Amino acid sequence: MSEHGGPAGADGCDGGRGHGTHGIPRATDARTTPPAPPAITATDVGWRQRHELGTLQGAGGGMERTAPTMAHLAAKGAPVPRPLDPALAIVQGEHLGKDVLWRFMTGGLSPAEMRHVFGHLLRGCPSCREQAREVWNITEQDQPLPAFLPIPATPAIVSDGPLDASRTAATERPEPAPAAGPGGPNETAYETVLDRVFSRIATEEAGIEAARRRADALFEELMQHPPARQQLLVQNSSRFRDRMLCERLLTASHDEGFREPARSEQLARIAVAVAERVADICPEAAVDSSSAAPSDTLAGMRARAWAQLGNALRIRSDLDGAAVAFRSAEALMAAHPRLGLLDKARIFDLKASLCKDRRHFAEAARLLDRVITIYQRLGQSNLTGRALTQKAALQFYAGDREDCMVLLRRALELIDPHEDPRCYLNARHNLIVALADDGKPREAFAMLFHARPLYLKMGDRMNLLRLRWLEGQVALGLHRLEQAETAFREVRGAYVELGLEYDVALVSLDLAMVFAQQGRATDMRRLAEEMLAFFESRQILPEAMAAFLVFCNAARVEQAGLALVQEVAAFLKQARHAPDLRFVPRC
Amino acid sequence: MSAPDTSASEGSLEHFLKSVRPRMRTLFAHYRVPPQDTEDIVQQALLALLYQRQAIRDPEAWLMGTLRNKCLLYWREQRRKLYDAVDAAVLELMAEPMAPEQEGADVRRDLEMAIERLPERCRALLSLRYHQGYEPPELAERLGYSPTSISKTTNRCLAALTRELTMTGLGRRKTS
Repeated sequence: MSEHGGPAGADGCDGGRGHGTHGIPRATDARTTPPAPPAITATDVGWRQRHELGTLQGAGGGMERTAPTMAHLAAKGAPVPRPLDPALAIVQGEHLGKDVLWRFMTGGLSPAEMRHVFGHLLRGCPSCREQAREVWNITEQDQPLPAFLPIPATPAIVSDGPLDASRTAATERPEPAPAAGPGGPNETAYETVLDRVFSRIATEEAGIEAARRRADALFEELMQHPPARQQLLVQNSSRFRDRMLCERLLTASHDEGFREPARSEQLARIAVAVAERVADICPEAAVDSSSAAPSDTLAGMRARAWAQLGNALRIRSDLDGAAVAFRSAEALMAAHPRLGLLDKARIFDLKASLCKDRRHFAEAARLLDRVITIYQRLGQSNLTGRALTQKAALQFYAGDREDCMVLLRRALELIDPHEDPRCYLNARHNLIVALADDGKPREAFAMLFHARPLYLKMGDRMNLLRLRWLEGQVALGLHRLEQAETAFREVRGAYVELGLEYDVALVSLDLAMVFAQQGRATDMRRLAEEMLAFFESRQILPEAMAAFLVFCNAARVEQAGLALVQEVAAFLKQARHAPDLRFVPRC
Repeated sequence: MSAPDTSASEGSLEHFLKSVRPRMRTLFAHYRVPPQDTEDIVQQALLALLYQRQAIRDPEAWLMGTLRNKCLLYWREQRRKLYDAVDAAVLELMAEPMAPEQEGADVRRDLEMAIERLPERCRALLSLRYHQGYEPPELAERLGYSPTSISKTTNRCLAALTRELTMTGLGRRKTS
């Protein structure tokens, strides 16, 4: 099964507060200034509440008339007065208005006001309790309390815990719509807000483009220096404390993971350094988890940087180092529960790969379930398909071929071959491998026939070699042994040339299966001797080497049957993802 | 679904914003987020889109999904305020040296009854909190919860108590 490191994460509650990070004014600043209402003193409000709105009652009076809602007033173009400060009302011996009670129930008052209102109700003020009963629409029948409905239950996706993997996709389904209640805004009430934000965003767009170009230039400049100097520059020069540069480094590190793992790790380390330095110059990012914008955005970037470092270390087989890096990412997620969904998905995705490498399949599957749910919720079908492909690989390693194939078929429905041809091909390739491995060579052959143009279209050598190897495996399944032998020899020669020892071992064993089926013991012995000489001069996992030696010894005395070759090949495939496995020959 | 390329020009961003505007309005009205509170939500989501658009394949779907999630987060925060208020008010009440005559006794009895109607786990937790003044870390130690999960458990119990008090203690109680 071929793998990939997962999609690049994005999202985050990007900046909007303050002028620091983006130079865009805080939204709340803007909204408080424009339609400045006339200054209203507490006494004025009380007067207006009593005489215009009727939301208050005198200390001893009953309800005089039904209160119009704020939305009604806004719709009529009437100025909407700020409702009475409930704490003040209580202090003054007044009772609570409907609007105050509704705002209390929807968390719309300040903490002190909230406490005062509930304390007042709790102490049993009869008229306010009656008022509350009316506002919250409590009837004698056991109907659900509408006041709770505008506050949907916590979605599991935004849980407090960083990796609460016990939640399943079923628990992460979208919440039902909140119910109607008094004072609910209508759609037109949002027009002014949207106008204001859209105008600011249009201005910001140009700035972001410039920032991106600047980050590209910084990246190029940084890459001119040796790694140690790069770290030094990032630590000491404020020019390199740039968020966009960090994003650029993360992308580069991810891409290098497929080509040059050592460089991927080096880039990830610089990305972590940049992210931490950026956080240093925005101190609120490090400590303030309650405010909305830059804090969560920067925390998301830092968490992704640590996760990317963890992934790079994983690719380099430093699983313990990877786990340490992921712990840093998780700590940031725990401290910032409002991290962007795509940031979370990205981190879960990478963590799932680590879990898979450690053979913690159940944990990896749970994480991928969360990733899939997030992508589904965000309507990112390609990314969903990608995550399904990863989950399918997991099932494959766990030995569940059926489930693997079901997941891959779902993934293929979701991935757009034009938009993400590599991912689509990956899913199809894995499906063909699973079919061939599951003893369905005819089905695999038919699918391979249709998929061949995709491999050719990708055109890179690794994909063409994968195609050729797969053709050999399908031919072997169909007992077209000569075709299989030709394909395996071609692939083996190319992998030897590329120095991919492990793949050489695997394809050699496929070739040995051909010899075993044809009873070519001499060829098998020659192959074993060649391979032994090749592996002895290179590093290969000790347990894999031990298994290979069992095969070589049997081949030397011409006792290597098909069953032994299959057993060794199966072990080598498993041991690739579990270096701790021990080989115990049965044949 | 339209997926405009926001990188092309300002025009395309404008077009994109124009096309998503009706859906955004509907979404906020659906979630009943007060207009003044939507400004931060929209701005954060759109900035995220601008910053990371290269990783986002379907901007419209992404934006709507992100906004939906932010609305849910908004309400979660509001709900937490409600629970905090209930907690603080009950603690204040219990800390009062003397209940004001018969009314105070009634209130305490209401509270006791509301707690009694909760699940066992919540009864134990809230009794320790309100009768013996335990703080969350002490509750975790006493009841065997992990320190990291105690705030979540406490919140769930407070949610149950709030529901119980508002539905029965405050709403249904026949007042004279």
